[in-house]
Parts: sequence; C-alpha cells; structure tokens
Amino acid sequence: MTPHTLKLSHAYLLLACLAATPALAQASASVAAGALTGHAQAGPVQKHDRVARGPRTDDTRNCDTRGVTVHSLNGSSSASASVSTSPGGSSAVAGGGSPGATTEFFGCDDNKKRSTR
Amino acid sequence: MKTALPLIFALAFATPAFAQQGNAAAGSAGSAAVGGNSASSLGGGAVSKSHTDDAAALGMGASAAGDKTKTRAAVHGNNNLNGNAMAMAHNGGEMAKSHTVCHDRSDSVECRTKTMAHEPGGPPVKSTSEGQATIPAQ
Repeated sequence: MTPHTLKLSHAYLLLACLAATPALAQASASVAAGALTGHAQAGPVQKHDRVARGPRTDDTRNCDTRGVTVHSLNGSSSASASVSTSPGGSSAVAGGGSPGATTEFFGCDDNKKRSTR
Repeated sequence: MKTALPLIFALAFATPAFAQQGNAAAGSAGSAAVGGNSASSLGGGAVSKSHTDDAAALGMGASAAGDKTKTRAAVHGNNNLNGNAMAMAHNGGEMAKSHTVCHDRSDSVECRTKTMAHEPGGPPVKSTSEGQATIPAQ
C-alpha cells in the first residue's frame, strides 16, 4: 500500500464514520391553550428520564382533568397532552406512536363522562 | 480521475445517511371563547430517525366548557401518524370551536389549529396557528 492509497482510504473511513454518526441534537415543542398543555420531544433520552409527562392524577373519578403520555419503544420520541375543563364541561385526549410505543392515560376513566357539576 | 471517481462513490453512499438522521418536534394549540362558551384543542408530535431506529409519538387533547359541549380526540396510523382533536361549545347562536390536526411523517411533524368564535349578528372570528418541524438535512 502506497502512502497515496493510505491517505485515500483514511478519507473514506472518515466519510463513513461521519455518515454513521447519529444526530444527537434534541428537538422539543411545547404548546398551551388556556388550561391545556402539550409537550413533545424527539431525541436520545435515558429510559428512566422520560421527559413528556401527563397529569399524574390517579383519581379516575375526576373528569375535570385528564391526560395522555406516549413513549416510543426506544425512548427517543415522546409526546404528552393534558387538558382540564370547568365543572360540567367535557374533554378528550388521545395518543399514539410508532409500533411498540406505550400510551398511558391519566385521570378520568370514562372518555364520554362529563365533569361533575 | 482515478482518485476522483471512488471519492464520488463514497460521497454518494454517505449522503443519504446524512439526510435521514435527526429529530423533529412541533405542536399547535388554540382557544376560542364567546359568551359563556369556550373551546380549546392542541396537539404535539415528535419524530426521531437514526440509522438503526425510527420512532414517533403524537398526543392530542381537547376541552370545552359551556351549555352544550362536544369534544373528540383520536390518533390513527402506525408509521405515519394522524391526530385529530376537536372541541365545540355552543348555546343558541353563540358558538366556540377549536380543531387541531397533526401529522407525524417519517421526517417531519406538522400541526395546525383552527379556531372560530361566532355570535348572532356578527361575522365569525377565525384564527389559525401552525407548528411545523422537519428533520434537518445534514
């Protein structure tokens, strides 16, 4: 192997490494409207450090507030939405993800139940 | 020429990998209110793409308060996700409405919220908000 071909192979190796390097930058978005909030994040996160969180209410009788959180299987994408309404109002949430994603619902256990007056 | 040709091949193989990796997240939200009626909806989505894994998540929400209310939220799809959230509140001629649509595609997220408030005798007041993000080509 001549010095010339050695340099060229190094250049190819460098290109290959650059091409294989995963993008590490995160992207996130938060939205709010009145008492509604939503958050979405894409990028590398630790499995135990999920960012998107719904309203962690375990009171399934409370239909004033409800939320949804979605985590992709590999943890690199997550989205959440939480909503609340005044007594007598109605609310709904939905979530979904790529195959294998986990969707968690919080709050009211009846999607058609109105808030208690 | 002998050295340039292999270099062109190497770049050609490397380029698609540059363009297909990254993350994007976007969302939109809106509220409308008239009289004692209010309606809000929102959506947020994220997509992540690497040379080994693709992932997407979408969350939608809607709420309404007033005399007569209606809310609905849904997410459909597997790889390309489509989400809808709609809220409406009305009594007689007064109506507030908000509708959010989100699309998670392989390399982009797009959300759009349209709101409308209307009272008898006046024109409807409308607004639109959009959020859009694309995995940048590198």
